[in-house]
Amino acid sequence: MTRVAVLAGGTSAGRALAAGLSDAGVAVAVLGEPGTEGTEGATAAPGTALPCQLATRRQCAEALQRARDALGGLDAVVDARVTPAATEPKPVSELDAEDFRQRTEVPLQRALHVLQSAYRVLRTGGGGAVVLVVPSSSMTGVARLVPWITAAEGARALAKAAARAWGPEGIRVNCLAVSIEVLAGSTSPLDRAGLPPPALGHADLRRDAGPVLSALVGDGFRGATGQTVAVDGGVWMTP
Amino acid sequence: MDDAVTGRGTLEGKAVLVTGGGAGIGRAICIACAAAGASVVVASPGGNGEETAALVTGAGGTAFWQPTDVTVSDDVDAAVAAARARYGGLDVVVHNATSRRSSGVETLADLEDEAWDDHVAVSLRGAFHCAKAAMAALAERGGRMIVMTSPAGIEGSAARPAYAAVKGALRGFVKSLALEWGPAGIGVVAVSPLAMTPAMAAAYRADPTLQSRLEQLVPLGRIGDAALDIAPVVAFLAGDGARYVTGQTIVVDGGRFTTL
Repeated sequence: MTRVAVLAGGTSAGRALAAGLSDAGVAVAVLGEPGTEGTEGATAAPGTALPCQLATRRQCAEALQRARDALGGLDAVVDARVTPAATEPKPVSELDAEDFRQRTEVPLQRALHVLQSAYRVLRTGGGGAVVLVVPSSSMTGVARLVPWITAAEGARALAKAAARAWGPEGIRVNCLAVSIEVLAGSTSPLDRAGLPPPALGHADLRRDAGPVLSALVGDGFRGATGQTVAVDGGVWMTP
Repeated sequence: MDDAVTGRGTLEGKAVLVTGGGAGIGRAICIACAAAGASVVVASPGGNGEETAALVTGAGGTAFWQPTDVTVSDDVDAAVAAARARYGGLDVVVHNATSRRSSGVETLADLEDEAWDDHVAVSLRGAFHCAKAAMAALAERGGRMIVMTSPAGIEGSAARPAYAAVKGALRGFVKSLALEWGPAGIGVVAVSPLAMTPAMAAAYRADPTLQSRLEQLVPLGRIGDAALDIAPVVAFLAGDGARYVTGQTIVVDGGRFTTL
């Protein structure tokens, strides 16, 4: 059985993906900061809930070690955290430097920390997979969400860098791109007006993205790294 | 250079501000824009910006050096204010500045926060400062913002992970800002160059096989020249001929990357 640590928080996306993984037969540990949206319900989701701090590289590393101990090993790490403030539409002209730091710099640095921490724990186990969850609209841009999309595209490029660096050690790094509204937990459209509806309708994280994520962390995708797989029902269909 | 390369006259009456204009591609962009008729603000933290301005004025162009650290918002505000004061407005901002660490080899697993923050501060915070400072001026004249990204930002780089991350992030910044600013009549584009620069020369010295390996990958068989291959494209994008281009990454790499 594949053993996966899911970093959750900010919205319910991490919890939904963890449930989808569990539905697919994956052993899951949900890591999240106590009291944050998306992690409070972690105990209600299938899997092992591990309340923990994830703000620093060290905390991230310690959390993944706990997940490894709880699951008896670790095959993959999924980072599905979302910064709530970053999902609130606001034009650049109304942002100050601290807004930009919180919405862009902090999330991007978190991606660095989780990759570094995952590398260390997966390497000791002989390899594995890392998946960063991003909004599919990051590939096409979103007005009034410049900071979030900037961070997400930075994370995608960082994932490619990691994929190139760690592939020889059996560590794959990919991105899962899901609907921006679903990831943000928003009931309002966030992408530009006038877009055709998703070809398959709006994708559900647990039902639709969960099985793809399960495959992505499994051996079936052992030849795929540095990729972004979109499960958004077919919106932009990039690349 | 002939007029087809210089785009002589196409930027007549326009004011262009170039961050990181003191050396390398930034200097070439300053010279190309001036040759095309623009009045240039060389925004750079070091005295080499003054040298760039002297090269431009020595060739009959118009330029001045404005000491600018893009990580400091007041510096960027002052550069934009200086452009408006000297040239009566601002048409184009080229954010070309990158961290001095950009050409250095880094190991992702061991990358420290201090180095990471240096990349983020110059590339991302700098872009944000430029956008904040210039938006009103650009909106007044239907201007544009051009952001220099990199092949590393498209494909990733095992040797330069932080550089890859911030250059990739800039592509997201450009796409989103293009959507946000389009209604104000401002275009935003990215340019991804493959060019011989002082940073590239250093990389060659560090790895003697790098040049031949790179050239094998380029269908045109050579690494681009900053002045002849890259800067003219940026100067074109700064002009009215590119007024319907926005949100794009223009890859200027001799055909090396063909899957965008």
